[in-house]
Amino acid sequence: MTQGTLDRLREKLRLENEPKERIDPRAWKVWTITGAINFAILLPLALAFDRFAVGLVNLPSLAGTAVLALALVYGPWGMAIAPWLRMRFWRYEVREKEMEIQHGIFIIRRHLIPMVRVQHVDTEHGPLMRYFGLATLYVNTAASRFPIPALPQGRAEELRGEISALAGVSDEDV
Amino acid sequence: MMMVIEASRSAPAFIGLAFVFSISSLGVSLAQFAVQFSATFLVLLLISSVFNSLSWAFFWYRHEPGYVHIRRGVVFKSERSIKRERVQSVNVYTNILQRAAGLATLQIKTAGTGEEAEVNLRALTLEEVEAIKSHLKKDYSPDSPPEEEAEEAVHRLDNKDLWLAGITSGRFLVLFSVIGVVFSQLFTYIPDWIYDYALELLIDVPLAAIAIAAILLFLLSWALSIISFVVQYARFTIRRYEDRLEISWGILKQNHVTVGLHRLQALVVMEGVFRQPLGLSTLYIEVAGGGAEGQEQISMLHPLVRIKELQGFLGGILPEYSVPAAPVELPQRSLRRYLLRAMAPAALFAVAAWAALAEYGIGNGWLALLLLVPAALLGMSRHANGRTAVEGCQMTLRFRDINRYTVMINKPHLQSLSLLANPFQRYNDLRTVRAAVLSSPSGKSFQVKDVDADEARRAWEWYSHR
Repeated sequence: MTQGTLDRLREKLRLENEPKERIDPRAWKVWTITGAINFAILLPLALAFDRFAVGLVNLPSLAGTAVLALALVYGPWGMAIAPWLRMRFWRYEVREKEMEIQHGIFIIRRHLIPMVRVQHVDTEHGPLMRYFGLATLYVNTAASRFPIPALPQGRAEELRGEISALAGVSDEDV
Repeated sequence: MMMVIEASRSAPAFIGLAFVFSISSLGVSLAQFAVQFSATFLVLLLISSVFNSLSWAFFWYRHEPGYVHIRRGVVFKSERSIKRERVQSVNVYTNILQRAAGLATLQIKTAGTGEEAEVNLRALTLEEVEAIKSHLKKDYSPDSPPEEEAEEAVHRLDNKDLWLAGITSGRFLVLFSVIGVVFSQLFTYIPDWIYDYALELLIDVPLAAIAIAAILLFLLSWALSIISFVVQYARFTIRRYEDRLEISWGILKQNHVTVGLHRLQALVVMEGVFRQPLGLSTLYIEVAGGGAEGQEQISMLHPLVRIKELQGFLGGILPEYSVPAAPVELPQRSLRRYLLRAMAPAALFAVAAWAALAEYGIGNGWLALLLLVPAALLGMSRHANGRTAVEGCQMTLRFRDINRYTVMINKPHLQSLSLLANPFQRYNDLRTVRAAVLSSPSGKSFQVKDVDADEARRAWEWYSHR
C-alpha cells in the first residue's frame, strides 16, 4: 500500500466535526484494569474448559483450543486495543439547547439530544472509578439513557447541575 | 351477574387446565376422561366465582367532579384516588354477556406502566359510565351539563374494506401454527391405539385425498380467521375531536378507546406482505403512557387504509402527519451492504445444512444453497424500499424487515437522533439513521441503514438547534 492510498483511506475514515470535549485520560487506566481483571477470570476458566470439560463431554479437542485462543485474544483486546479505541472516540459537547455524545469501538455512534428532551441526569461511580476520582454521568430522555463515563468527579457534578438547569425549561409536552 | 361475567372471562383457561389435568386418563377410558374433565372444570369455576364475588363485594368506588376514588381488597385493603389531570385515557369495553345485562367495563389509564397504571371498573351500568366519564372530562362544570361536542372528522370502515382486511390479515398463519404447536404438544399424550387406528385409516386413503383434506383444512382456518377478524373489527369508526381521537369497534366485544393527541408520539404505516401488493396498509400509533394490558388494541389506529388514500385519510383524521412529498432513496452503493446482510446468514445456514446432510449421506445437499435466492431478493427489496425524508417538522423513515414500515415522527416527539457508522460505512459515506421515540412501556427506536451521509447530515441539521 502506497503512502497515497493510505492518506486517502485516512481521509475517507476521518470523522468530521467531532464533539469538542474528551473524557478524562484516567479512563484508560480504569478500562485497562477492568480488562485485566476480566482476563484473569476468563483465562483460568478457558484453561479448565480445555483441560477437563472437553474430555468430560467428549467434544472434539478443537473446541478446547478455540476457546483458549479466544481467551488469549481477549487479553490484548480487553487490556489495550479496546480501551484505546474507546478513549479515542468518546467525545461529548454540551451546548445551550442540545448536547452531543459520540462513542464506539467499531461502530461509531453519535447522538444528538435536545435539552428539552432530557428528563433527568444522574452520576454513578463504581469502586474502580471512585479510586481514580472519576464518575459516570447518565443523561436520560424519556426513551433512552446515554452514559458519559470517566469524568472527573467535580466535572461530573458541574455538568449535572448545568444540564439539569438547561433541561426542563420548555413547556413542550413529552 | 358480575360474578358470572368475571368467572366466564377465565373459562377458556379453565378448559385448558382441566384438559391438562385429565388428559392422562384419556388412555384409560373416554368416560373417565369426561368425568375428570368436567369435575376439574366445575371446581375451578366454583373457586373462581367465590373469589370473584368476594373481591366484588369488597370493591367500592365513588366519583365526584375531577376525581374517582377506589377502595378494594379482601384481606389487604388498598385505596386510591385518581385525579382528572393524571388520567391519560378513559376507555369503555363491553362484551356480549355484559351487554345482555346492560353493563360495561370502564378502564381508566394513568401515566406510568404496568398494572398500577390502569383501573378497570367492571360491571357498571351505562349511565354510571357516562357520569364518570363526564366527571373526568376537562371542562366539566356542575351547573351546565356538557354540550355535545362536534367531531372534526369521522372515518368509518365500510363492509367491503372490512372483509378485505380480514382476507389479507395473515392471521390464518397464526391459527395454522397454533394448531401445529398444540398438536405437537399433545402428540405424546395421544394413546397408541388412536394413533395406530388413524394411521391404518390413512394408509388406505389415496394421496390426493390427503392433499385435498390439507387444502380444506387450510381454507377452513383461513375462513375462520376472516370471520374472527370481521367480528372483532366490525363497525370500526374513528372520530377526530379537537384534542383527541375516539376509536370504537367490535360487535361481540365492543370497544371504545380515547387517545389524547398529546400522547401520540409517532405514526407507523405497516404494509404486510399480503397487503402491500394490493396497495393496502394498517396504521399503528406509538402512544406514551398507559398500562401494559390491551396495548395491542390501543396501538392500532386503523386496520385498513389504501396507500393511495392515505394522504386524504391523514388530512381529515390526523393532519399532524402527512405523506412526505419527496422521500430520498438509498444510494446505489449501499445495495452491496444490504445484499451482504441478508445473504450472509442464509449462506451460513445453507452451508451448515449441506454439511449436515452430507454427514448423514444424503445427496443433493447443495440444493440448500437455493436459499440464497430469496435472501438476495429480500436484500434487494430492503434496499429498494429504504427511504428517508425530513420535511417541515416531520421526519419520515421507511424500511422493510419482511413487512414494509413507514414511520412518521414529529420533531417535538423525537427524543434523540443518532447516526451510526462502522469503518466500512464511513469509507463509503454511508450512515445508519436512528430515531428514538417514547412508547409505552419504554422507548423504541426506528432506523434506516446505509443512508447517504449527506442525507444523514441533512436530518442531523434539521434536528439540531444550531
